[in-house]
Amino acid sequence: MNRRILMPVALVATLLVAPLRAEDPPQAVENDVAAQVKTLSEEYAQAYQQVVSDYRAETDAKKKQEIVATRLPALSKTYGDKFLKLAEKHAKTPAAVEPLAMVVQLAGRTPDGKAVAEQAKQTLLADHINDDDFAKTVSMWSSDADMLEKFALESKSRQVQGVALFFQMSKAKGRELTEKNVDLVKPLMVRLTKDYGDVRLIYPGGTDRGSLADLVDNELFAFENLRIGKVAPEIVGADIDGVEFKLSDYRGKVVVIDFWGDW
Amino acid sequence: MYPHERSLVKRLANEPFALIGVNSDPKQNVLAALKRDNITWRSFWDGGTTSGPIASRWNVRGWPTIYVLDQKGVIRYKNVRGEAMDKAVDALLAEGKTSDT
Repeated sequence: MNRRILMPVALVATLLVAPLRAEDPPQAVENDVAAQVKTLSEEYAQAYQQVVSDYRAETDAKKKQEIVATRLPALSKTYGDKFLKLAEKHAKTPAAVEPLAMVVQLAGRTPDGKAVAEQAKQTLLADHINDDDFAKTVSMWSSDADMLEKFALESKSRQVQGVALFFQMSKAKGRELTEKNVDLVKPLMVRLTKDYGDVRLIYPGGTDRGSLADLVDNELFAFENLRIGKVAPEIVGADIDGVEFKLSDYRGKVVVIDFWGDW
Repeated sequence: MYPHERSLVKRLANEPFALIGVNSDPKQNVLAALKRDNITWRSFWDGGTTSGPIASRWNVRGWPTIYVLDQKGVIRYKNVRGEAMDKAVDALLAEGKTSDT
């Protein structure tokens, strides 16, 4: 369903940049590659869903096992190769960043793809830390304090600096902001909001977690309102049928709130 | 996960207890899950993405994330699963009974 809507959008985007392409300005190439990455990602997601539903439909345990052992790695390999080709075609230009990020993700999932994934990571480090899109890949180094510091201090891209600082803050914070770590973490939060508040945390593939200012705000809100001993914040929303209800409708009862998803 | 929650909801049907979900799936997936897994409790639907307004406000990063509230709406436990969830709920229900008398 989504794909049918997306395809015409991608087509229109291609047509719009087409007149510019006579001179091949970098921005047009980037838009074009972004559209290809998006289409490939959608195709991959759909193929992945197909494997998942085949897995669910299969009743034989041995065949289920086989689906996991063979079809998923094969899928990762096929699409990893496609993204690698795209990255190589645009090597050393900002357009290569997103395809390389997808290679890291997909090749890393196949038994013999570890070296390919590592190579893509090294290419990102060697050629791309000053590209704005590199910010989308910083999460790959989120547990590497030295790399984060390098990105925050040395990258010429504000996006990269901001996201690196965000992961430095996350590392200092650990699981959650507490009375013990708040003094250490707060100055980083203030800097994030002040200098990089508008930068967005986006992951490879396009998942957008919001602006750094909002993410910091959410952490502070959690510290003030979501710790054990605090009165739970109100939730006003609607169920799947669109019928509105509130958390406070259940005051007077013991309530388990379960954030769940079927995946 | 679901079977456990189903049995908890069933066991406490006559107690002052509620299990409230917040669901981050696309609509068609929720409908399929509700049917397939016989999910009887009510859920807020958070707009079909993991960065919906409720999950964002509650700073949820991993799924499932669990909060247990007492009868006054105070957060008393977080991320208790399985037996630990049962114990937490039972303790709070018992606490409610003693404070009534």
